[in-house]
Amino acid sequence: MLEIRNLHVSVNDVEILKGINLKIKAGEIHAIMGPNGSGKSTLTKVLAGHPAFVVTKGEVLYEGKNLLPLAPEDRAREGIFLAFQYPVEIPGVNNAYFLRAALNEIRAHKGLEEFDAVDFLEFLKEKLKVVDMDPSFINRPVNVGFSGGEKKRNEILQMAVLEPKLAILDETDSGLDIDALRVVSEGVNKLKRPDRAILLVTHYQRLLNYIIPDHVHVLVGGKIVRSGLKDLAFQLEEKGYDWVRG
Amino acid sequence: MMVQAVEKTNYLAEFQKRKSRDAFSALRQAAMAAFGELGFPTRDHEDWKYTNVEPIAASLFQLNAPAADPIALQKLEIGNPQWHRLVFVNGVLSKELSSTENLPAGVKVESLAGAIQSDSIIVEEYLSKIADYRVDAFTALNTAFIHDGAFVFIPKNVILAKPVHLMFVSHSWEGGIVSQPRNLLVAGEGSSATIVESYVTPEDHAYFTNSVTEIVLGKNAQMDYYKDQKESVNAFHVGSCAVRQEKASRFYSTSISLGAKLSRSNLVIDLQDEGVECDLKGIYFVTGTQHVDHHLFVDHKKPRGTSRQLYKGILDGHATGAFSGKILIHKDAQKTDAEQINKNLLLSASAKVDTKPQLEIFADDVKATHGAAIGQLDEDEIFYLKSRGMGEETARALLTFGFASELVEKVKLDPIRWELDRIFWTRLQEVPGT
Repeated sequence: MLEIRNLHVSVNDVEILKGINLKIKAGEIHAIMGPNGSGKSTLTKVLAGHPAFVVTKGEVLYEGKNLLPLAPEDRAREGIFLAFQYPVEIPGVNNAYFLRAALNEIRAHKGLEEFDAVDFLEFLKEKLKVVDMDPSFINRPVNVGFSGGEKKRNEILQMAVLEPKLAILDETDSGLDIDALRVVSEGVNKLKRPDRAILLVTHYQRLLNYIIPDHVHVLVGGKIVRSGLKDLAFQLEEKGYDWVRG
Repeated sequence: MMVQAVEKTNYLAEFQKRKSRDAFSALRQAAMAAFGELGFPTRDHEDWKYTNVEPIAASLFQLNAPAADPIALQKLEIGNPQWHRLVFVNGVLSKELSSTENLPAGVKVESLAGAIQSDSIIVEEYLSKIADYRVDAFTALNTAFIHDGAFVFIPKNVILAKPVHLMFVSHSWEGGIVSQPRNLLVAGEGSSATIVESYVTPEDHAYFTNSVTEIVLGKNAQMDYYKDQKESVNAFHVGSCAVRQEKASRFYSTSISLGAKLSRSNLVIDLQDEGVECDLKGIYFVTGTQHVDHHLFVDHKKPRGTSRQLYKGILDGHATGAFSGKILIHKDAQKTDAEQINKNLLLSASAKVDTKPQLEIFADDVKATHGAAIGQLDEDEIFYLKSRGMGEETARALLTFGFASELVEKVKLDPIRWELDRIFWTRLQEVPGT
């Protein structure tokens, strides 16, 4: 589904990613772990198409096609979803309207009929169950006044609604207490499907107790220094990032 | 200056011709003299630093505006059928378009021209006592030509359930007219009313509106006041509103500025007694080469007053804007609680706004804050929306709506809020693919 080849990325002329290679197949869950400043968030942003990140070298293939020329909205319409580490607040625009507008753009792109407000509400109520969210949230402005945990839950709700092929979760565990972490993780697990790939980016191993990855990669200094199966995460937790820096 | 000479002469010549004979002849005379002294302000004047009124001074407007043409006015949506209504065309009351049936006993909603005759005691008590023509050329000019406008009187303890709509229509076949409505709104002790003042036109001509509204709130009175400025994008609008608040009165205003090539809205609040409250909101949304200027003065004279100002502006294209708000807290005004916020969103690189908050405090036990911001849409916010599949235009429209909504959602009068919602949503719907 996704193939990253020798990807180099700079921000303000500073090279952050220095040759990333990664292959993710449909149905797989990959985790990227790394210390602060290793380039984890940069990787998620560049995949989603943030304009501040400049690809200086390498390529990214998504479903066999060159991803990099696509605008962020076109990547979303083609099935890429990024759950943000810091979701943005949008005052005055309620969650239901926002989600319907987004989903309808994606559906229009796919040539599907748009949802009207009534049908969408029924659809949305089902999706709320995925993250155990109170229906009152759908009439509140997007993320405004939400706690950290509620924002992260809302990101996973968006993922459930937009039904991406490739979901990228940037530090979805940060700022969550243990109960919120469990709910959010269970939500992600419910959204696991054979035709969907998930890329988790995290600093800590604890998220991986709840969402079991098929592959774990360690990102240090803009490069993947080690890849392995899920036990790599436990080793990292025990020995720390210095162990792989070597 | 050459320009000044031409234009002052025009107004003076017309003034000489008029010679109205009533209780206000001396007032008009004095105001004309003041206008002659003051002249149109230039940008050297501190209060006019950001607004150049030379295009007004340089235009020879027609001072005797033609009467209403019913056919042209058909294009215009005449107010809300549920409201009491006075319609003025080119500054003169149109009885046919007005509707003032079923007013509660003692309530007066009528033309000032009539009230000068029939309610001379009240009119004489307040007219030109609240707005000071000696310090402002436009108020002086309006006062020199006092003829018609709205007169609203709410007696003691009367709660007026339906809003009163004062609608000012500018209309002519060629444009180039000036209208100078003069309004006097008097709310008696313990009364309550909602007033909507709107400025509209069926055409897109160049013309000039120079309005003055004086408002008196008696002890414990409440007024919800809306100013809805939707002049032609080629018009000039200078509108001054001066408010006197007596003990424990409450004044809630919402100013909406969408139209005019150049608009200036002055709002002066005289919190002259204890425990008064005012809440002043404003929203402006301009584009093209429009210029919009809001000038506020909140004058806290006595203890325990509360004032709030929240003005939000959206500027697109080559539009320019200015906001200046002064809060003055006198020595006696202990326990004052004053707040002022002005936020501006620039949607294009060519739009520009100047904002100048001012606080002058002479009391020692007060709470006073102010804040001003000028910003563009946040790139990270746009990226967030795009990452959900929304196009650039949709993302920008949605965030613009969000910026306005903080204020729009607080508008109490449903039809006004719906209209604002519609204006912003329409912008959103115009975006292809939404």
